[in-house]
Amino acid sequence: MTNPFDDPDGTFLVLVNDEDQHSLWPEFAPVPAGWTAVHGPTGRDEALRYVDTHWTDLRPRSLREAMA
Amino acid sequence: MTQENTGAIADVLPLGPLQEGLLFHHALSGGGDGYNIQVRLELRGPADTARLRRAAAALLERHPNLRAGFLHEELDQPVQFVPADTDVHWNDTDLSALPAPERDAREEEIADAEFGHRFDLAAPPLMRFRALTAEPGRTVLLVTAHHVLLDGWSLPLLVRDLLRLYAGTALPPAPRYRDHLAWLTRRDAEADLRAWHRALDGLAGPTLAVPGAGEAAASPQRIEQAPSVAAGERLRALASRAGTSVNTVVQAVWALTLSARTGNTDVVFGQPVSGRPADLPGAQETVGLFTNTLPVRVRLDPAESVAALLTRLRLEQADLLDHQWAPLAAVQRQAGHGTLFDTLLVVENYPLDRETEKADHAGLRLERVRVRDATHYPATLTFLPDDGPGGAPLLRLDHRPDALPEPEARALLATFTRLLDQACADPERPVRELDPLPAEQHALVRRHNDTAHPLEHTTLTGMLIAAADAHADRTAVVAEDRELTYRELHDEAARLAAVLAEHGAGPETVVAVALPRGTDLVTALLAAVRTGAAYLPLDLDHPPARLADTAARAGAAVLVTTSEIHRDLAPALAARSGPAPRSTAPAVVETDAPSVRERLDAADPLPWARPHPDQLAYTIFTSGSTGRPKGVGITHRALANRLQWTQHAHRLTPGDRVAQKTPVGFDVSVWEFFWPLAAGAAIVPVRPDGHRDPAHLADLFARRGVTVCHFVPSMLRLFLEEPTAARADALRLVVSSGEALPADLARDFTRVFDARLENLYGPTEAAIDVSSHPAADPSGPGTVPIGSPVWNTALYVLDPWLRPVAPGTPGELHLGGLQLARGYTGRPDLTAERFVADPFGPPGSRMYRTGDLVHRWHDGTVVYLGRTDDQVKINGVRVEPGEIEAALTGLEGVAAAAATVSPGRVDGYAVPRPGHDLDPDRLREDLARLLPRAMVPAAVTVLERLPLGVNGKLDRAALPRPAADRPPGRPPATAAEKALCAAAAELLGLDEVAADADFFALGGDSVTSIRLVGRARAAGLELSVRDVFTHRTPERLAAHAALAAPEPEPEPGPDAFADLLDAGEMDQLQQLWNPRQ
Repeated sequence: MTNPFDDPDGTFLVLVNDEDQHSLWPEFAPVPAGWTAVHGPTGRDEALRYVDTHWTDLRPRSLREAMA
Repeated sequence: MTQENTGAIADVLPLGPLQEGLLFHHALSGGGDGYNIQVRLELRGPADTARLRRAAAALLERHPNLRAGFLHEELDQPVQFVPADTDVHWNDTDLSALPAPERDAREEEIADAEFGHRFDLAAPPLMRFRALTAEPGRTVLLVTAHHVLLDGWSLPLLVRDLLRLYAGTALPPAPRYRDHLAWLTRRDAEADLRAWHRALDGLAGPTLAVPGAGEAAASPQRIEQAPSVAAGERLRALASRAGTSVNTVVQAVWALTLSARTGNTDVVFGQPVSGRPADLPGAQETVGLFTNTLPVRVRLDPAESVAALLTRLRLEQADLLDHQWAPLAAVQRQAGHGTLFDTLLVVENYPLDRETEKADHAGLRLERVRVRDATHYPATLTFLPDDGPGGAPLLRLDHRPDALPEPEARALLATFTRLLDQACADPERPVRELDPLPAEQHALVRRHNDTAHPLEHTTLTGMLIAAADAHADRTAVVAEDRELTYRELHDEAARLAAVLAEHGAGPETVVAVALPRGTDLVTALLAAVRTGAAYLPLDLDHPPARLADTAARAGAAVLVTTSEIHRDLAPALAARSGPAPRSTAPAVVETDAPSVRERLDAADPLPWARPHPDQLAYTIFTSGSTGRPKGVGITHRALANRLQWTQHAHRLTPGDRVAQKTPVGFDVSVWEFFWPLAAGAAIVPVRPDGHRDPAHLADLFARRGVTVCHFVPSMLRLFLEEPTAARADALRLVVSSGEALPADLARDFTRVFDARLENLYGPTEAAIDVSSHPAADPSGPGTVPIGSPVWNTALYVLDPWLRPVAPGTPGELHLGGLQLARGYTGRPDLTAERFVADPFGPPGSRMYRTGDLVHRWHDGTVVYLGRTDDQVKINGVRVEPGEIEAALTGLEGVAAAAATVSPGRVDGYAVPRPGHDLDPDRLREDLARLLPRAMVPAAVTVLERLPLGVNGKLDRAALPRPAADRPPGRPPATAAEKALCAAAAELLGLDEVAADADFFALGGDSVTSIRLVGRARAAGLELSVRDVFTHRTPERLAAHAALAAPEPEPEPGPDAFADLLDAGEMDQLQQLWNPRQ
């Protein structure tokens, strides 16, 4: 069984939630509540490159703000 | 009834494609496969049974192929032969004297017994007639035949001819089945196979609705369901709108049904085709076995609409219309996945012959015709477009109750009708949005995941402080050399924390800890937590280079260790510092250095830092498929949830003593440290290396009164085998995790210990464990379930389209809830692909994809089945072949690499760069410097190239077994072995076959195995097809044949006939058919 997230030929979105957490997301599935598409549809590698350059701090936003 | 056999053979013919398949099943079953077809005629009127019998004999004369027998032994290729003799196997029974209920019962009994008759295909006739006089004027005629003779389409022809022959009607000559067989030999078989190769190209695997059901022929049970007339109209409307047939719609919906049951999105099932060629005159009127079963492949695209799927399906299948005579065995062999399907779809009935039904045949009228058919498929769905009430469609599911019990069969049929309704209701919907599950199954999952529970503490720190205050004078650590109270332990930790803080430890920093198991390790971890830092445990079993790399990638600010360990690590630390992500090496605190000891004595205890619940408590590195270990950061909230759930479930009290035996790099150690320290219980550290020594553990547990401990199942087995284990009689709770827990092991446990055994499951990425199941007294084989979720945790079993699956259907386990890790240290990309948006949880929440294949029981309980990827665990520790491959590829001179991991053994494979010579031993030594011991290959094999599968990916299964481990192929020694090796080589198209080579591993299959038996017998070796499947190598087959009685030398027969066989083979056939001559 293949997970759609592992499909090298799949079409993906990049989603972000209110905590600035990022998620790869297969285009065929509806975007879950509380998440917004910020990139794509695009190929898997390109989507992950986007994540790599735009998600630079893995801490959730609420923690960052609490620490600031 | 005896069969007088004159031995004369009228004709010898080759086999049609399905006949070959049936002969194979027959041979495999050891004769008597029960693959029968039966037609039951109810005749009204004064029947003359003697005249019926003559009609039956005339029928066999008219259609010689109905007299055929089948042989494969001692022949190059199987044949059917037609005896000249037309005598009929006939019985008549008068039941008319019996009272009605008894008579009906007897009639059923006889019909069943006839249907269950086991024909020997080598001993024709393979058709039996049985006339029952039920009452005056009502006669039942049972015609039972092996399916190898004829198909369902032939039955109306057969019935028509039989009744006309009874009536004495003059019949035109019957078209000959022989002509069809001749027509078949003129076909371009290669072109057929090429077409099927294209149709099945890229298929990942078979679609098995009932894996492991086997192929036993059985009399199926039948359930029926009639959708409404309106539903039938909607179905026809959908077909006509999409420009397809009803057949295509039913195919698409059956494919979606199988997809929902199996989790496959590239689905195959079987469908019979009539096989009567349009360009063969009389084919529609010929009695015989024309039908063929062939795969229907349906690739499903979640975003495609139902209507678009139908159109595509029709186009794909148009290409195959001219290729329906390819033998299924050849089609499957070419696809390379073995048996491709275990379900059949039939969309149409045998054509009815209304005229025969209405006509009067010398006073006899056909009142009713019933047909029975055996199957070896677990499920056959028949769609009868207008056989339901009022012309509605009728759905019929024939299922083998041994493989698919009735409740499951009903669920399967219900899924089909649910999907059919939805597809017809809105053909523009993407297929992913069709929901195969009934509402109650969605509700069940919600109930099972209803785990919300408030937490008293949201940080580990809060839990530790509360216990330190409540249990200050109780024992906290029981080591071999000393005992510490909570007060003493926390005092030491507070002063070490002060030293760590001086070196930069604090909230949002990482403190690496490289200490052997013991009191100092406990103190150091507590100290790190006290500063507010996350701790990074370094497993001293790992090579220094890996530890230094781990510390650098985690960005450790401080390293707590001993002077001796530091000496080993220093060169690696120096080599690793410099490049990003951290340019400075961590500050090193040697706990045994005099300067540090002085500082510790003088330091003021550091007050507890109060972390935010979302700050990290620890980071653990696990093997990564992309080539490097991944750091998993676990928050205080996640760990606090896990610890409070355990405390609720298994309440530790101050009297408990918990063994700390797990290496720190494995996250089980986290609860071994902090659960007792949060509950007032004591930790009993096991000496370094002691965790691998069952006798030592038994002794320590007995001496220290250990009450709670953890075992990975493989180690638990060794512990139970230790004769002194039972001395550890204070044990009350043993936690098992890290690998699937075999049920037999759990049973063994209860025989040795009067203690609770709990199976826990969870990845490092979700705070140690997310589910649990009591393992006491598991029934049956297999493994103990991984159970139900812990507090504030959801388990989702999802299909490849991220939809929940039905109970019993395998799916990938996804985890939601509080325990998810923050992510992978420094790897946002990996984090975003594994920790993904959760469609089922609160808005904005995430779920973790575990890569674990599971299914649910009907009560929701989750059962582990295996991995969806190559990851393997060795003694509970995750091992990714990808990481070993990456390390190997990184070595000098290596162009490409592969690794295989099996229980207890890792193997490496390397391909040299051009101009490089690789030394396997040297490669292995280099790897030992980079990888943990468990991941270092036992051997590295140097290859010219890596084997690739049909999809261009590495085919791990095709990697050679390492040289050290593989006995070289042994040449055949005895005459029997030589004969078998030569026959196997010729059949498989190989130059030679070793005596110890597995026939099937080399490409042998059902058809070639029949031929192998034929040649073996010709060489005087007594073997059956079953023997080939059982013994597999020429060596073992030869040995087996030697045990069987030698056959007498065949005598030459009197005549030579036929075009198919040479004289010698004809002799043998004659001999076999008529051994008494």
